[in-house]
Amino acid sequence: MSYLDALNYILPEVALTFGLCVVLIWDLVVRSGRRWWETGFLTLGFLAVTAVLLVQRFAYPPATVFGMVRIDLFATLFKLFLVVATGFVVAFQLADRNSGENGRSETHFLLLCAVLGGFFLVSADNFILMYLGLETLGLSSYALAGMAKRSVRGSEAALKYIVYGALASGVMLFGLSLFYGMSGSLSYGGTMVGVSQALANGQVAQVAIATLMVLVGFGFKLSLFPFQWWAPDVYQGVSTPVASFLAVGSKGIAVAAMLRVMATTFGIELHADAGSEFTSSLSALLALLAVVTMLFGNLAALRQTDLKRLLAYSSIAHAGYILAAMATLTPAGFHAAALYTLLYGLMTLGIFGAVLYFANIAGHERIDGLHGLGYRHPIAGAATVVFLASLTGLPPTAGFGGKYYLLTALWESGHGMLALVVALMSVVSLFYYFRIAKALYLKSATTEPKKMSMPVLAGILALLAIANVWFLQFGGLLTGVQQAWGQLEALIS
Amino acid sequence: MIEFLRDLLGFETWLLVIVGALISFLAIFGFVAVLAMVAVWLERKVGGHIQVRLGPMRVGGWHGWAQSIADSLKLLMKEDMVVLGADRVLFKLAPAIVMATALSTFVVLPFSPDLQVADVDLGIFFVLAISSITTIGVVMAGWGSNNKWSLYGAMREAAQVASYEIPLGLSLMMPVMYYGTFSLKAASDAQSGWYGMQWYIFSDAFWIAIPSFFLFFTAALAETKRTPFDLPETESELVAGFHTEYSGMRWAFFFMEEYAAMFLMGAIGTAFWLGGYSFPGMNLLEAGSFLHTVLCIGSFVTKSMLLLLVMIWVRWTLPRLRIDQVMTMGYKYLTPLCLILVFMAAGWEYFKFAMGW
Amino acid sequence: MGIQLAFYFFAAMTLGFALVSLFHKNVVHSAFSLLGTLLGMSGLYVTLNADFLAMTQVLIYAGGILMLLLFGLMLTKPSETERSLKRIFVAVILAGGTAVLSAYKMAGTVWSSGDGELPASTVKEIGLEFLRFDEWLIAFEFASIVLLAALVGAVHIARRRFPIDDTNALLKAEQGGAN
Repeated sequence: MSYLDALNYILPEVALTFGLCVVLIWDLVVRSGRRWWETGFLTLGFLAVTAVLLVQRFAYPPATVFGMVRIDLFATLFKLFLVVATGFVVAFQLADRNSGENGRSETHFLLLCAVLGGFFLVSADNFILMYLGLETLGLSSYALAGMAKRSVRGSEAALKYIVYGALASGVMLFGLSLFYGMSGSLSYGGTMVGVSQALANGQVAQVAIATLMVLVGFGFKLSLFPFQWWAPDVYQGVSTPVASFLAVGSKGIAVAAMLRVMATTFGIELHADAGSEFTSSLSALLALLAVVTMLFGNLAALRQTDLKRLLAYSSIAHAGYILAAMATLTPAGFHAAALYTLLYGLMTLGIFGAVLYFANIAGHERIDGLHGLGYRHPIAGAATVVFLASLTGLPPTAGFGGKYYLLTALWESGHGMLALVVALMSVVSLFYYFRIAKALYLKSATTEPKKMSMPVLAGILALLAIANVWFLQFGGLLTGVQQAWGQLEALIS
Repeated sequence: MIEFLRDLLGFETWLLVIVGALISFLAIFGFVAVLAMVAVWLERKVGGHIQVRLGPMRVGGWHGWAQSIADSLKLLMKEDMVVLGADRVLFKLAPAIVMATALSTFVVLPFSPDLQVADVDLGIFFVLAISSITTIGVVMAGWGSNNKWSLYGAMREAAQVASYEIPLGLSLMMPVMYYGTFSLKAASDAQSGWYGMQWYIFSDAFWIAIPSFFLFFTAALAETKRTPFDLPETESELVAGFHTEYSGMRWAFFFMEEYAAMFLMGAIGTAFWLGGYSFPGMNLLEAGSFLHTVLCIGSFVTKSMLLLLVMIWVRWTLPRLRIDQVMTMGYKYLTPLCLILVFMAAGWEYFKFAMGW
Repeated sequence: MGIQLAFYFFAAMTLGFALVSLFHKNVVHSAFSLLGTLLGMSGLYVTLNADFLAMTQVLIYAGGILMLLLFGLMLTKPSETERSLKRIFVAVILAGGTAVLSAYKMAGTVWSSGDGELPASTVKEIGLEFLRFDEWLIAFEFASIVLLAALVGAVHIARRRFPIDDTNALLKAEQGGAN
């Protein structure tokens, strides 16, 4: 493959790189004080271009270009997901009336950097590139979190985020170096061979230690149980658009990368006819983590009064559901995890948009600020109810579809207990999600709320709500995911 | 040096490495000591004449040539003092580190085609890396002295030197790109054509070489903490900066390091821009002959000393900058200019490659 | 023989200074003893003929990162640079337990090793590898984006002013102190 052919494969990344340079230079040379929204629209434009290029890439046969970038359907699908999610984040930010200082154009630059990092993270075929992608995503997120200039709490949250993040990525790097030491190769394929040899030599503990360490890095990004402490503080401390990026973009792409790493690094083990000792214990460990994460997220969310804090715990809980699907270590489970991630993105974007909408009106982000606003803002209120139903997993929404498929996958792979926990936790989640709906419709406002209309944001919310209902029929999406997974696994056999 | 010993003895052991290293160390130390004495005398004479004074005139007769020797004897015999509140370990360690790094960088200097301690492939990269440790020694001195002025001096040194390492390294990229090597010896060899006049500043890339040399020289002034960038030891503000509390031989070490660093910068400039050890008509002499070697050494040392002289001249001519001006200069002017030059140099190399020159 | 001596020397230097930096009561001394660790590591690289890596280690870690570390430390008060032994004790038990466990397991691992041939010098090889587009080029280029993002983020965070309400609070506190 010639240089230009390879470049053609990564044209979305090139477009994005070009875009972030333009945004940075525009900000430096052209911008004048207040007009930060210019870079916002520039960013939206570049994201749109990238999305179009990505859609074109769907037709390309899978290939590894530049020696370490794997362009296949799976990567492109999640890249598109990330780009669309980031588009919504930027739109939220542009619509945010309170953004003020938070709307600095550096945010747009950093968002684009994070997207680029996510791109390389999900299509990396080499641990070096994977780590670089993870670091770009991480560093941009830290900086985005650090921009919460409003309060001491925001600074504290950012500091926590950086310190935990640095620790997690350090541990992960150590794990990667152990993999490298065992296999002598940094590519996923080479590591796969090395790992299976090491396991054949009876070095289960060594592989387990390395795996655990790598898991720490992903666990931090996904806010899985022992590494979730940063999430509530950070979500609460940062501005709502940035929080929605962390909850949707960053988490979604990290799930995709983790799926790829697990499927390719342990590919031989997963495809062995008889489940080896290693895979069964890995599965048990992931299941345990998933259960604890679900329990923690859902139970802690019950008592929250701050909307974004509540959503942070809810996003921890959802990471637990996704991890439960992964814990099956079967293709159906991986499909379910990927599918659920996509649908989760849809509903979480919606609910963060709703929080932004109502927080702009109430002036704060506590649940009692929502009192009685549902009737005054019928579109946003109705959309919020749809999002909440979707998050809980109630029937006419995408959340139901995703959870249904997830539970089926769990049940059919013989993880009945896990399925039971997921179902039970969904019931628990109904309580706290319902509290938001109750505040919107069943409580009356104690003070006269501000008269304010935000038609653009309401439109976005309506769009997301329709999408949330539309994707109840997830069949098309599922076929896409299955195809993508087929391409990913084609490497292994 | 080690190769030379190996040839001399005809066999090789690991002991050879140590012996070779020791001999090299002694040679470099001697050279630096003499160099510092000459440079200090030069500094005082030049400074004197610039200010319409005579400078030292008495010791030794002819223009006070022995003044530096007398001073060194005095410094050697001074009491070895450590301030009461100082951090004794760091206080004593600092001059040693500073001196050691200054001496190590001389390892790669090619005085002649044959006279070089070690021709490291990394050459200039090695010099940059090792000399960055000097800063740590200075910071150690500043903190160990337990003195506000010292600490301020050390902090300024840290900020300034760390900042100016960027333009310094970038300005060195131009000759490195042109000659395709980090090695100072290889660069000097490449400049010895045209009867010893194929210097970088006379080459086809002279329009990049000359501005890059000025940028290099400016950054080098800041790296060696010379006026107008001598913020770490401003007498008017910080008494004597990071070496306020030092006296005797330890103090002398700091000064030897300063002059060694100046000579080093001069030598790098010579090796990369001014033809290294080459001199007009060098190809007429038989390479490796005694006269050739001596003239090469002479040429190299003379050129380096001339650059050192320019540094002295600048010191006695220009006023000192403020610390914010120093930082502005480094980050807003030198670094972007260097980057532009790097682009231009890369473009020129590519152009030559594309045209098949 | 010589190379083994050098290896043991540098290994001892690395570990010894690392221990000093762990256990020294004075944080500034700990930071300075990191210099020894970093130099020892670069010495280890030299024994492996990875000369470029060794010098990069010195330039970036000793000359850059350690410098920043010291810069930060010198801005703190000396009284705050002491640390408690109790915390060290807990940390040693936790970290030491993990370390011993993993070291025990690592010792039994079959590590993959190269063909035992050391390259003469790595400068040219590294440069050529970066020029070959299907090898490491993309990671190298992408690293510049990582650094750019970090740089912009750091500058933006460092540049920030106090938020307006906090500034008012600070002003009030200062005025209160003056009165």
